Amino acid sequence: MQEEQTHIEWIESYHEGRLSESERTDFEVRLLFDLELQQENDHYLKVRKSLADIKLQRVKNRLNEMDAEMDAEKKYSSQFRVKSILSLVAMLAVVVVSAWYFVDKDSGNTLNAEQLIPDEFGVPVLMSNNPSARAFDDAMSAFKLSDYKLASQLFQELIAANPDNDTLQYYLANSLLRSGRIESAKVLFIPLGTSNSKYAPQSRFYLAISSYLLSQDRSALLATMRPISLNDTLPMHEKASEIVQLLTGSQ
Amino acid sequence: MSKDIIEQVRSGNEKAFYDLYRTLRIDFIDWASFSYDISREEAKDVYQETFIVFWNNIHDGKLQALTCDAKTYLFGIGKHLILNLMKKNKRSVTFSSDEWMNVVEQSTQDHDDCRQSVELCLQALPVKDRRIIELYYLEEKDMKTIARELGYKNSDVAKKRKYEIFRKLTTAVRSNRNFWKA
Repeated sequence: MQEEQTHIEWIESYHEGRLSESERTDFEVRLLFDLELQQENDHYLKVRKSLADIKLQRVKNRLNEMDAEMDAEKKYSSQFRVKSILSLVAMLAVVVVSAWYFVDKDSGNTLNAEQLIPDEFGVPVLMSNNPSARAFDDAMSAFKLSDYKLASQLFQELIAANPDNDTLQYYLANSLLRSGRIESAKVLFIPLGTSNSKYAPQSRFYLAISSYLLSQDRSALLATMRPISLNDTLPMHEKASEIVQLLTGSQ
Repeated sequence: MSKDIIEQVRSGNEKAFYDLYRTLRIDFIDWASFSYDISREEAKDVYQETFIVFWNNIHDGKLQALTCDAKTYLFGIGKHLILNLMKKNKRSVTFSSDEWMNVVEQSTQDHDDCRQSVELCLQALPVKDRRIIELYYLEEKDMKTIARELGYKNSDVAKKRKYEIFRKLTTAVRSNRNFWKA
């Protein structure tokens, strides 16, 4: 053991250039004839090479982390720029639409999806870490981030495993409606609206919106919205009042 | 600053190296993707490779001092790597010899086994033992600093301990057949 350790010390001193000229020569001569030293030297070089590789890999890992950080920072700042520009555009659009509304409010009589569909905030999720809770969290996160196409896909996958879950059906219908697949959304809102689900009142509201977007039948929409607007205990009461005002104000 | 970087990297202080990486990255990627026929993603890869070459040149002793500023030196390495990449992109190579490919694959596999084995054995060492190996072989600290950092009486005691641990590491790695079959 002691001899082996001395070997390592000797080998390392040789490779790190810490031997004198005569010591170097001694080492090289001994290496030619001493099989044990040859083996030790071979092992030493392999471990040193591996340690050098590990060191380099750690540097690469650090650089990769920095790349990811810097790319994320850049993405965030460009997103912020885009958001600022979009905010300006949105403000401008509000001003133009308001001006148009007050100058010539009777000229248009068709309500669009943006005017009709209220904000839907989703539900809090991730109460446990099991796979189905995580899958639901993913779907709800996509919904909350307005990625309705992805949300539709994820809710559809969840419904395949839980076909009777009304929460999944409700949010799938909502995702479909918000991504422009109105016909498919309507097909889902019909049974939900007539069921005992806690989502039945909201579903009837959305069913009326879907029907209007497909048929442009203002009187049918008004017939559904008016009772909701008059009952402040119902969900969507405020939005229904707003729609009634839009419908009656623009008639 | 350039001289500082070389000295600091060599003495195991990597902060200046990483700071420089952060500082020049956007300039390099803009310059490379604008001046040459490569994508921004390729430019990012080349940038990282440039710094790896820089790092290796410092540690191998090929780079003792810079005669220009670090940016010029690094962009010079980058340019060389970009030209190689463009050449490689244009070239289409077909390997017909399976035997040759096997040799290359085997050699790479052995090398990976070897590194993996050392890494595993290193992680299995007690913390203080692992640190002495990391400080000397990975972070290139001198024995005096290591003795101070790990609480050894003096550099000779730390050095003796380092050889003991290195022996322990070699023995542990030697038991891994994959490593020694190479």
